Amino acid sequence: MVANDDSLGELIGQVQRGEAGARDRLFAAAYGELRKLAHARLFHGGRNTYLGTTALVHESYLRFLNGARLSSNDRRAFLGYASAVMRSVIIDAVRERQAERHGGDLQRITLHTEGLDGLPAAEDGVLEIHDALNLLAQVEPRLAQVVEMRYFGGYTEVEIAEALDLTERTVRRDWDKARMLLGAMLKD
Amino acid sequence: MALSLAEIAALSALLDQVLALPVDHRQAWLNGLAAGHSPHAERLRQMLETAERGDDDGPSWPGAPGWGGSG
Repeated sequence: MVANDDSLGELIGQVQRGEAGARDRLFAAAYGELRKLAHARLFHGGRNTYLGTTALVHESYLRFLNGARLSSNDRRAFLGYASAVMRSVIIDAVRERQAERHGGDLQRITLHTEGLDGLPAAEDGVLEIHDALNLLAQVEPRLAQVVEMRYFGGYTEVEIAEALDLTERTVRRDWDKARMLLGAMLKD
Repeated sequence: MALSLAEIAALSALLDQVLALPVDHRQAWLNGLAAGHSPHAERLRQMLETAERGDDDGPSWPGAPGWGGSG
């Protein structure tokens, strides 16, 4: 778990120097913070102090990644990893809540993600999107990654473009096209 | 989720073609696709109509709370 900027900076330094296993250590260190972010996004919606705090943690990572001049491969890998962690936590949480509800009267949760017009946004819909995204990844992996980073990871188009070495325009087109494909997949 | 991987791939390729066209040329392109008995013509038309309706309704991709907007 990364507790402060110094330790994070050191880990990034190790990645920059190409030290064996450094990337894995950086990812492992970030895991706890990423889980917090995912839970905050899932349960608190964003317009409160808690998410403001965790968003700052997120920004701290981005600031380090931007300033550290990590190789594009390392940066891409980190942001991709972060989005995958967020997605995993969100999906696990939704499934857990659904399982718990069978024995109680828990309230439904709403996922505060980027909107997917015309697509369901609550728990069932999130799982459907998760499944559809798995299928889409087999045909159009880049589109699926853009959706994962934006919908589950919360990254902006600018951040995704930088991470994936694409133009913002391409990211926007990918996002729009993916939305159309996912909409058709979920409609059937 | 009834679409097969082959259908998704076909729709994706067709979307690349139609989205590259100016908006006012797309209807003719769709008509041509339908005239050729493409099994995807009607679905593609619906997909485009849905997307256009979204555009008419306002921002298609509102910024997610807490994440600093849509970029």
